[in-house]
Amino acid sequence: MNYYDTNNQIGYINDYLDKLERSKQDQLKTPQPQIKTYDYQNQMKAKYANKEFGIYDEPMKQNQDIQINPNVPKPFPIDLFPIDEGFTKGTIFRNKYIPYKNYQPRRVQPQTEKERMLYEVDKYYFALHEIRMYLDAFPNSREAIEIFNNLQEEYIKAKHAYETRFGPLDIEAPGLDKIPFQWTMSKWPWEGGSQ
Amino acid sequence: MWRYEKRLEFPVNIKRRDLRMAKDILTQYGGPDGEMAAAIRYLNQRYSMPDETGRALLTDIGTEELAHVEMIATMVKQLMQGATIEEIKEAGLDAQYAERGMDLFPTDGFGNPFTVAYIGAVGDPLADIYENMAAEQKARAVYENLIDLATDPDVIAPLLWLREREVIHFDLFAQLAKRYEGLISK
Repeated sequence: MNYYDTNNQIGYINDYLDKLERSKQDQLKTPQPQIKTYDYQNQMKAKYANKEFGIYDEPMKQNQDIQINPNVPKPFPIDLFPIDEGFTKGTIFRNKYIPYKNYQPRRVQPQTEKERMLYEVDKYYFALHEIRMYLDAFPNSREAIEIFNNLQEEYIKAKHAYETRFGPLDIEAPGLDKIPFQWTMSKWPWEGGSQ
Repeated sequence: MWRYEKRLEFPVNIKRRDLRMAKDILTQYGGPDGEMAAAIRYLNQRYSMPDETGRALLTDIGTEELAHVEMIATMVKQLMQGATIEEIKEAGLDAQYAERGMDLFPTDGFGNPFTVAYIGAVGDPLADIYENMAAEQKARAVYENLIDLATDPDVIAPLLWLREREVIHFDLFAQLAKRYEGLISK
């Protein structure tokens, strides 16, 4: 049972995988007409080429665990808010945002240079985290990986800039060679550290 | 393993003390549909997910829930900052004060302590994911109740933001459920 690394008791999944294994072995015994994977991929490419939904993705490649599952959800179109707006609203995915009553999310308004620089770290990390979760579900989205890489670069830049001026945020921050140890020198988040 | 960044996921800066609001928000810390229950539920379930998508999503959402625990703790702490004995009595927190002083303690709004009975794990990925979808919806509803109760914009802003996160997590779990339905229906 090499598809499955957990020692579980999920009967139907095991049954499914067993069935798959058996059908694979059957296939090996009797020569089968070869499946035209190439054609299938081209068809999928043609389908997405019109960019009707803004999807440029490759068709879902087979996962290392789930072998062939035609029913997996298709990637939803990536339509993003500007990063500031997304961070304010609580999601960067425009078509996933659902407001509550007529409450307007309040934009974070940094007052000081420290707040402004921390805000940059917060917003880029947040967007990066959201795109990462999109990629968890749709790992073959080239568009999402491009966005992820841009955001990752921005986050690293913003974090380094903040830490250089206002102290470390984590263990690999610059300035941790000074005496006294800088980790304990800045306020904790609940003590107004995000002010 | 986990790493800590010394900042909140979304800023919380509450300047006005409000002990009643602190007591109400406490349920999102240690209540049945609170952030702590969510974090432990997801990080516990990820070990028995049948594919990479499930393991990755539960890890990433569970990790985010840990950041929400910190936000909620910060809100409660800031709402209670500098409270007098009179204010504690007025807010009905005197029993809490007698047992815990001003310590933060994971309970619901009624003072019932956090329990792992809140955590669903039945050994069936689809059932677990449906449980998570329900938990996200319940947490969203609780945030909406809290927003209705709140009057301070400094309190409403992070509550609105956390509510939207519940909406997003629900959506991610809904997609995961569809994925597993597809797998199981074969």
